[in-house]
Amino acid sequence: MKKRTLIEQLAFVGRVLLLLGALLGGSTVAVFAWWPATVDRLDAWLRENRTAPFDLAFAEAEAARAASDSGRERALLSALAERIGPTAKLDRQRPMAVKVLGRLVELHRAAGDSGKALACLRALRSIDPNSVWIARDLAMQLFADPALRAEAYTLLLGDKAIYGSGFAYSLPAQAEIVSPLVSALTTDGRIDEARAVLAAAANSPDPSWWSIYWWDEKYDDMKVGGCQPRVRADSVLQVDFTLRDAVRYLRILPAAFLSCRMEAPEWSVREAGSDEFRPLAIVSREVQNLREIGSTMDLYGIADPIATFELAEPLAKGEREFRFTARYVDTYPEWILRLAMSKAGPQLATGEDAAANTLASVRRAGFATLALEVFWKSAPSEFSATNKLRVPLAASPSEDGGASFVVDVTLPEAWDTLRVDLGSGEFASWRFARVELHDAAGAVLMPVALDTATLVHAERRGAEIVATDVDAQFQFVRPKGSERARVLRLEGHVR
Amino acid sequence: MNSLRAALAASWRWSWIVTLPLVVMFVHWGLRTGRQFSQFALRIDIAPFEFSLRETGKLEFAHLMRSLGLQFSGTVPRDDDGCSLRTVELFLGDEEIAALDSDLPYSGERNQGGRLRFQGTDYDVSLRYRGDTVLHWGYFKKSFRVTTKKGQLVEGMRKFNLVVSKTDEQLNNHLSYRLAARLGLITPTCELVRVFLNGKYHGLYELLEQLEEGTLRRHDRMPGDLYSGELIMLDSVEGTTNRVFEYPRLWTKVAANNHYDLASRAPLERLHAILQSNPDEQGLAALSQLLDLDKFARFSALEVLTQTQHNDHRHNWRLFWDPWRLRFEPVVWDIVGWHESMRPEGQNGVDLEIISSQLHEWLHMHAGFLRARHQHLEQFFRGGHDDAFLAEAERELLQARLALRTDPNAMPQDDGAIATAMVDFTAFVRRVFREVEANYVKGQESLRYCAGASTSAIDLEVATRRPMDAVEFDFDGTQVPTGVRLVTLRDGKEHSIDLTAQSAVSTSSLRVPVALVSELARDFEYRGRRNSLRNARRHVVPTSFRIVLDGVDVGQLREVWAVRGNGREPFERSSSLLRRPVDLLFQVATPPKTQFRTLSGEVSIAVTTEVQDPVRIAKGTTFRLSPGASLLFRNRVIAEGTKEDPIRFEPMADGQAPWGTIAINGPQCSDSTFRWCTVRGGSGYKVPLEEYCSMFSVHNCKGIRIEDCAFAENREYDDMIHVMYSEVVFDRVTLTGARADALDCDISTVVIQNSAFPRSGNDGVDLMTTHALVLDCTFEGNGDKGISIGEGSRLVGLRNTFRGCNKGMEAKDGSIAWLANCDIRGCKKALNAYKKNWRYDSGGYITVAKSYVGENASLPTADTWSRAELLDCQVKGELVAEYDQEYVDGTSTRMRNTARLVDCDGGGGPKKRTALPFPSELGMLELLASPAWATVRSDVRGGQP
Repeated sequence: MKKRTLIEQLAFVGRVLLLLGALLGGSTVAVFAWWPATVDRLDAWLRENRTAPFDLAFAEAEAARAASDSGRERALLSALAERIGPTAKLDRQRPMAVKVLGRLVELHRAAGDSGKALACLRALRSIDPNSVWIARDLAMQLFADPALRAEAYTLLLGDKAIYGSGFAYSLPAQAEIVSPLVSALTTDGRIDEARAVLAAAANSPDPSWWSIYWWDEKYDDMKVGGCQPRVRADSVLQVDFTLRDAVRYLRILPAAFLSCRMEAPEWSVREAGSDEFRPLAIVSREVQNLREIGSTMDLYGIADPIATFELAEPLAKGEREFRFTARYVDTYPEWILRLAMSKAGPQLATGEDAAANTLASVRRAGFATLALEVFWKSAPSEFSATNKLRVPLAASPSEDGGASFVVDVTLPEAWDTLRVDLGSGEFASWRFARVELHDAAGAVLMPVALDTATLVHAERRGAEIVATDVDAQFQFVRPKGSERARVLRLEGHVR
Repeated sequence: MNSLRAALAASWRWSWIVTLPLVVMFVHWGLRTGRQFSQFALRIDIAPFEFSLRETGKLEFAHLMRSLGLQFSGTVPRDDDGCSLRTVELFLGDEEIAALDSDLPYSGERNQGGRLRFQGTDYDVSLRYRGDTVLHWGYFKKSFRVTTKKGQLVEGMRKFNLVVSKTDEQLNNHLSYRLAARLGLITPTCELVRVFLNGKYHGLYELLEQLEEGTLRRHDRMPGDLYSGELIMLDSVEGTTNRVFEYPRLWTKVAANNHYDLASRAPLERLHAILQSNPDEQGLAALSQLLDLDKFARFSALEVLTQTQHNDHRHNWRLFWDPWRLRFEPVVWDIVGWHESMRPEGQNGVDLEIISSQLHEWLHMHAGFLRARHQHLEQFFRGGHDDAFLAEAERELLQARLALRTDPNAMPQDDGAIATAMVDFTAFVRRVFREVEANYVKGQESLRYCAGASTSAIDLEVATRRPMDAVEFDFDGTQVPTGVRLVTLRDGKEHSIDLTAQSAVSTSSLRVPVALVSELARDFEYRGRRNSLRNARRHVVPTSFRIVLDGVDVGQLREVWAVRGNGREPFERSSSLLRRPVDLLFQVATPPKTQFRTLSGEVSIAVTTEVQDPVRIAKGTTFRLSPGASLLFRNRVIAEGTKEDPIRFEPMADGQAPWGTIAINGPQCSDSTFRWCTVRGGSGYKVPLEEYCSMFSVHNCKGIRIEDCAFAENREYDDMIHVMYSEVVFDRVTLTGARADALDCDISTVVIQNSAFPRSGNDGVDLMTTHALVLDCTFEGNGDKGISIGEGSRLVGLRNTFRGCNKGMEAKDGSIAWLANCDIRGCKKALNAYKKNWRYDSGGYITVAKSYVGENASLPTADTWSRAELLDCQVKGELVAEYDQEYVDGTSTRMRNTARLVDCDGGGGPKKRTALPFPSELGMLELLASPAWATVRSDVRGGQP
């Protein structure tokens, strides 16, 4: 009897559970069918719940970073990396994993723990073996260790320089890859390979696909089209397209990594039914990732150059043909010029083969485009972009592979400190034969003694000032008695 | 009350019958939903798609209901359900399925062992999932890649895909491939099939060939590099723009020309260099030298007819570089035609030009491309291919509907939604055809002219998508121009092309064969996608041309006509026309080079030289070529030597290293003739974009005659003469002592007569996928075969003598040869037929009739897949029962000899004297060979009476 009762009780409980299960299932289905907002909230909560702990942990590490507690930051990020675990390219956690590992690389490097930095870089590479950034960072870390340089070469060159399987073969004009590779090859005395790799980069055609954006009032309404400009026989670059939308802003995104000079860019428009283009007045122009000097825009071979133009008179809806024109001058990417002008430049550009010829011409072009930037300030103000002059050197190549220059810089009346940004790139050596202050009539007032000038990212080696980074500069205080100085004359030699 | 209580008690007691299945069902649904959501919403980024919890739950529920419905209704595929699709059965163990599903999408890429049953045959195969997007591996039905073991082929394929549909209407890709095949493009084999997985119906799939070398062979292309341009998802490269035409070395090779380094991308690099250069006359001319414009025009017609933009700047490009034609050709892949996302919104018309990549942008500036595209579209509609295709589409859609009726995993799950999508789809296809036809075949246009800008200039303004074949000018009285020029205005300058030579004068009219077409201006029309390449349309703009007729009084001009086919349409006269610059249209006219250049005397060729003009080579001319130097003719050659004064191609100095090649390559070389020439001391030529494996090369041209010529002393490269994609007649030609093969013919048609092939190191004549008629030739002392035919070749050989060769003749791999009145004597083996290449279903077939076969070390042999037959021949010796078939890799297999002797004996007199009918299995050679076949003597055995 008891046994039967137990079975009945179990059966009852079973029935109840099944009923509850069925009701629960049915209710869930009903919620999916009739209360979608509830399901969407659950959806959002699940997503949030998935990422929030990682975000929180990362924020904690950021706080440690803000507090300059790199040890704690490192510990927190290491723990977070552990929690995220192995990650693959399409994983949602990938951006977080990349961020964490990337920061850990910096921290381990700063702590001098290159082994751990390398481990993080290898973990990054396993997430995305195709990433240029990761490959570059890994290669540079490997290059730093003489025992691992061979691995770095394998990564970048593959089994051989030509028809290899490394990044430098797949992406022969990619600055992030070619720059460190050429530097390493020259350091290791593998000049022929360095020459071949750099010449391949210099000979690679510039990309040419542009994007054009336009919008009226709201930035969010921005629309986009793509095209390839044409360079006319008179060396004017021209882009034509038809729009029917209202337009107040026009934005050009020249091809990524393009290097060229665009002089006097202009917009014009032809209304439907009209035969003539009329110029469009531009009220403002904003640029990113390109240099604007007067009406000239210099693209120097980096990603995502942007120029945005605001029309003085917005155009209402209607069919019209737009035309963008600019005088076009082809140039080499700046990073190639720098490599060709580096201390290994003369070696790279010497030889009878086509690669050497290419690099000799790149080198000449580099020196021809050398420019200094001269900043001035009067206490208590600081150096600023408004108080500066860009001064082309127009240097002429000399037999030693370098170039000589003489340049006069017109100075303002009021200044107490001058700063000269050498801007010619890494490892360039400057020998100033003469640095003088002249009056307005050109008479020499006094020489400037550079041995007392302050050097930044540069060092003295004998009579030369050698740049140790891309932002090399020297600055000096206005000498007494130079009140009438209106011209700074710089004469010297760079190589 | 009691009965109610009893009923309730009974209901309660038996409630588990209802609640238990419900709970099982809900648990299953919950687990499936949770797993899907967790994997594809929380774990994996499946952009541009997105799984929401709600949609996932609904979809899983619908799938559950559908499966249960089909289960309980017993709806399964039956033989009599009207569906005639073939069946593919896959067998994959639970462990293998679990391994594939364990960590999608990554785990799906790892091959698992399984079995395939197709058309009654079982195969051991490797199976994995395939496809870039979640549509292929995120739902109930997954796309498979099937790979057979080496040596096993499924209908000629070693790799194929079983692909799920990506759309509600199901057949976008399948029907796109069918349309592509109608347009004459290289297209993978595609067929709708019903797939069973482990004995259960899994659903409707597309069986799609995986592109590889076999695809090229099936389309009669010599193997070359087949490149794949994919820079999305796992293939994308962070730190680049991921535009395929900006990174030639990021393309992969689906099939590779093994004559070049596997990493070589030279043709793509050339294409890249052109596309990144300035779009001008020179750039567009270079593009036409690199692309098979006609094939790209067909491809563009396909894009317009399917409205696809799926071949874009990032993916889906498959380009075949034909190393012998020196041209790229597009291969159709995953174009997903008529996709909903590519249909115009609202009242917008369909796209009449598809511009979705940089290559598209360039092509649409090329007048020759636009002309060719228009021709293909016109042929499509005028030839009734639109109706034929629509009928085919209806049939395929019906079959798909029948297969989907029982498909438990169909997407969407609602049959009604599929039916509606199919109806919309068909309506859209019809709409596209209607609108494209209306614009390209029957389109409105504006053609105007104005005479009087100067005394000899006629201005034309053309606003049309329909290019013309020529422009005709009717005059009052006869007008004979001293010069005819087409002049366009660009960049403030006039550009002039001389068309005098092509223009034709009749009584009162002048015909100028210039195919004018309108410039297409760029429209940016935002369509809701932030994609800079999918927002570009084109519109026709009135385009100005000037025809200058020197020496003509244009005041006498009566009318101007646009000539199209057999019809003429008038230009409207206008008192004045604005002359606009032509900025975005190039290659409007490229006059053919018709002026022959004459070469004579001593011609030194110190370095490789290309000759672009037509050339006449005078008798007695001697070419002296330096080591490695080649002479590449790109136009017609008339080399007219005589017996007394032959034309010589010789080394610069005796004893020097060999020179390269003499090559004629390209359609413009057609109708070239070489008479009384001697060629000796050459080798071959190879540069990154071009290769010739012989001393004398004939590629890609027709109507070539080589007569009374002698070739000797070739070195280094394999062949003495190489013929590729050509039609050539060799008459009274001697090829002596070839280093390897004397005459190698690939995918060509050749007639070889009265010629001799003594002492070749390898074969006298080697044919691959070639049609040949060989008459009255002698093959003597050849190191391997007198004639070797392979890979689907067809041969008729009459009155030939094979003497002292290793093998008289050999046939392989789907080739068929008939010989009659031949002598085969003194060879190590008279004939052999076998299956050499596992990619072919059959071996070779040789029939030798009315011939003499004697003094050979071995009589004919043939393997199981082949046939060697002697009919009414004089035969000396006995057939062997078994023999060792040797293969190229050095191995050999003992085979049963299937060769047969029919009506043969040792006597010289024939058994039958009735005329031999033309062999029915050589039907495709009948036109070429039947007149010669009529000369076969049935009253003799052998070449001598």
